[in-house]
Amino acid sequence: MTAYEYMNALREALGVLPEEERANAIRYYEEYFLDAGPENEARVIEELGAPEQVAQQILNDYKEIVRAAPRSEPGAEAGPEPIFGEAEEAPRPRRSPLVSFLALCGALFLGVTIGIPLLASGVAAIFSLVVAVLTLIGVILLAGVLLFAVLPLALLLAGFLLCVFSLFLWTMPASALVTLGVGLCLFAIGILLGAGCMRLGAAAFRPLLRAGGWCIEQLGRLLRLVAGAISRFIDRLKGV
Amino acid sequence: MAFPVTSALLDAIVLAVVARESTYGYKITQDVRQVMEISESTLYPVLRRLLKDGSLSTYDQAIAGRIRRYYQITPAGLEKLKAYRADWIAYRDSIEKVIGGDTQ
Repeated sequence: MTAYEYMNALREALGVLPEEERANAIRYYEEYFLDAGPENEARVIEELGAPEQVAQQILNDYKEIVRAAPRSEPGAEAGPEPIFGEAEEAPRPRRSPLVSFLALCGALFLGVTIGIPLLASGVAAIFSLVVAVLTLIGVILLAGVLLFAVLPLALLLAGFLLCVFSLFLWTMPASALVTLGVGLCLFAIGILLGAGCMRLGAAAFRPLLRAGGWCIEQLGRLLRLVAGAISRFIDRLKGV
Repeated sequence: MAFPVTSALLDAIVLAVVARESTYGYKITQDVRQVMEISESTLYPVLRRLLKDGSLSTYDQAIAGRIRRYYQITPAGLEKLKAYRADWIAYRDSIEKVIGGDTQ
């Protein structure tokens, strides 16, 4: 076996150690071989014994040190050790009724001073959002009504008025004819536009209705969620 | 050897060797082997233990184209060595009274 093979076997046998510990040990024995010189390599290998044996010696010692100082990290300075060397965390002490009561008061105080304003501002934000959305929908509807209902009606009215007006222009047949023609055209456009708008309005109304219903549904869900959270919070307060 | 080599004795010997001069693993082993029979693998755990408890510290120094790790004794290590020396002298003197027949 060469020193190289020996070191590989040792590295493997020390596999369970933390990386830093293993690196330190490996480095020590690497330097040991270097300082012994190639002429002493065979002698050192023979005297060291099996790599597994050397590793076992290091592992045993490591376990001892870890047991003696359970909190010291490898490489870090060992802090002050607990007198009884307890490794486990102490069980959580039970709280006295007074402490529980004080905790409850504190939680209530926090709930009142922070929770309620927070909740109120959240509700206000949601409310204003809903109002904004509703307003937008209203404006769009109004614009739609104006565009699709008022315009055809106005056209119908204008056409009708022009037709009536043409009756008073019998003295000037050409003008009367033109006026009647324009009036009939406007009337026809008004009817066409009106019919189209009615169909369009009917088509648009249903999705709008559905969107409104969806909005209300979501609002209901949100309210239920908030109510659930509040009831859970109260339950937790009771459980303190 | 008929007498056991305890870890305290090894600690004391290594501290005494390193206290003479800063030195390195192979040399420490050879120095200790001059005075007592130990295996070549005995000293790494001892050095490691003394490093952990702050009695020794290390530094790296370039030597002959490579880096060698040197061990030096710390003030805490010197205190510990002093205590070991006092213990050793007391122990040696009391055992000597019984065993060291022809010197009395």
